[in-house]
Amino acid sequence: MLTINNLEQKIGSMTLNVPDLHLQAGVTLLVGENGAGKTTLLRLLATVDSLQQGEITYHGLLLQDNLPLIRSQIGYVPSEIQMYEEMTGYRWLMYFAELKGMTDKKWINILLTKFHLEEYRKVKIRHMSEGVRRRLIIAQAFLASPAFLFLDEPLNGMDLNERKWVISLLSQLNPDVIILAAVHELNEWGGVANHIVWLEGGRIGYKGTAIRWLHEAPMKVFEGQLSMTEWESIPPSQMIFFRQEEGGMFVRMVADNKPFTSFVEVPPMIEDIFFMKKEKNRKPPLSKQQR
Amino acid sequence: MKIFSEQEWDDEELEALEESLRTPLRNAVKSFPTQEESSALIHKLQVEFDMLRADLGTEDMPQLIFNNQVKPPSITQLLLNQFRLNRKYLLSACTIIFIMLIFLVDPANPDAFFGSSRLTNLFALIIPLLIILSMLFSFRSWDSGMRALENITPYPPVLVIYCRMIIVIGLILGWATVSSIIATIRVSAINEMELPVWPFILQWLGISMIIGGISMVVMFYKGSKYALTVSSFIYIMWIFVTSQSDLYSYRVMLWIESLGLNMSTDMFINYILLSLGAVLILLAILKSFSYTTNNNFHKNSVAG
Repeated sequence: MLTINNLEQKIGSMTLNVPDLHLQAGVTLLVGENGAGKTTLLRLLATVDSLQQGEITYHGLLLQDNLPLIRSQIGYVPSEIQMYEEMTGYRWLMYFAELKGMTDKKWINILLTKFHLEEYRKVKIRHMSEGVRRRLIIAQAFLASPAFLFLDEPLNGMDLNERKWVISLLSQLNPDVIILAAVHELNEWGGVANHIVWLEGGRIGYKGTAIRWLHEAPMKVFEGQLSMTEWESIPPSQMIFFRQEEGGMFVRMVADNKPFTSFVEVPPMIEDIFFMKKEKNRKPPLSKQQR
Repeated sequence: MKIFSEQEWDDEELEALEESLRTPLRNAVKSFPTQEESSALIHKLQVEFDMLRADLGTEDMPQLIFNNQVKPPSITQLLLNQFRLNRKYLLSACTIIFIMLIFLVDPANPDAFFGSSRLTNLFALIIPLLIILSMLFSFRSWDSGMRALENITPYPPVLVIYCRMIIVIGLILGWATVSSIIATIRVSAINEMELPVWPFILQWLGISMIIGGISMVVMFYKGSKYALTVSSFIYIMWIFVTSQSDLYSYRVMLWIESLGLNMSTDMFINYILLSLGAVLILLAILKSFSYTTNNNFHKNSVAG
């Protein structure tokens, strides 16, 4: 178990404040709007940044007293990275294997195969697509089979198939591995997420199981196709998602009762709850008088 | 025995039977819980979940041990790793700088090259400065994402920085020696005189060794920012003290004579700088090796 106690970290104008958080084995999704503190939390847990205040323990071992040991068990994927363009796929993994102190190089070949990167073994990174680069970045986090994986928007730049494939790969990992992944597209992670941590303005808004998250805020979700005029009549606070389709707008929304005859009620998904929570906590717009 | 009577049922009678049974059957079948009911149940059970989690936390917590795929770092391995990473840029940058340095020297005017003091010696001014500037390359990768990944090493990341510094300082000193020899040959050929190479090399080597050595030692104990500050300060002080040599050179000369040594003040000072620099570099090397032994590797907790 990974435990955080009384953490306080100031980054610019934002303060990350986590009085108490326990992360268990399995996949925990870290959700929240941009600037909520997700990256700051991941960098702290990955030991990239130094802790200003508080305590983090990894399976009972205090970070400050066991840094090399803990680092030997950490895999990290940053959200943005400018890779060394001149390296080949093989060289990239070899570089990090050497930095991590791995002597058995067979893992590089295993990872190249596992991540479908065999054909990029001798290709320079500057010739690779964004999706392939991202796979290489994720692959380096798996070197030495770490006990903790911290992934900051790991699927950035990947197409739909690659995203599904990486998520399924994570679901096949050893169940004892603690994975914390900051994600924006929540629904695609629904099948593998065991827990959810919601950060809001540097504070924990929710921590708990994914199942409880789904039942935390009872809501009815409806979806269907509408004309443009009908679509314009929906208040933005109720609209979860929309896209233009042939013959009108496809809309997913919350409502107390069936809002349009053509709509059907569907079970709420992880992202719907996130939408509702955000809307619930959003300050109402200022009235003309207040302005 | 017959279960059913032989009476024939028509559709209307069947419909009437269904209608009469609808309400009692609906009451008999338990309806699915509503979302509100599910939420209420989960909330009620949360206390039990939390207790279970607390029990798991104390009893079944897996023991975290050092990753068995990770071995203590080898300095040779890290040197190769870092050299392979930047070899093209390092070699080309150094080559360009020293070719320029050779051609900056006018062989017909050797005074501007050797100078009457260390201050007018181009090499003695530029090479220590290059070492300080190269630290900016050594200390950090330019991209924050790469920096983050390179920092998560199971040994102090300072070891990686140290290896980069060793490579850069080695390249600078190597190329400076080659340039010195070439420049001396050119000056000797044009002026038809034999110039000693060693005293000239000593002029820039002494201060360069001090700057390189002090940077490495301070970096190990205090971090890279301190190393950059201290080496820059020493460089500035060295320029200042050298420019004031009139004030002390006579006393130093008398002291050298009292020691029974037969060498110039400059040579004597350069030898002292060289020796001090060599000691500092040796200290840094010993410190780096201390991280590569199993005991220190596993015990060490120096933060990056």
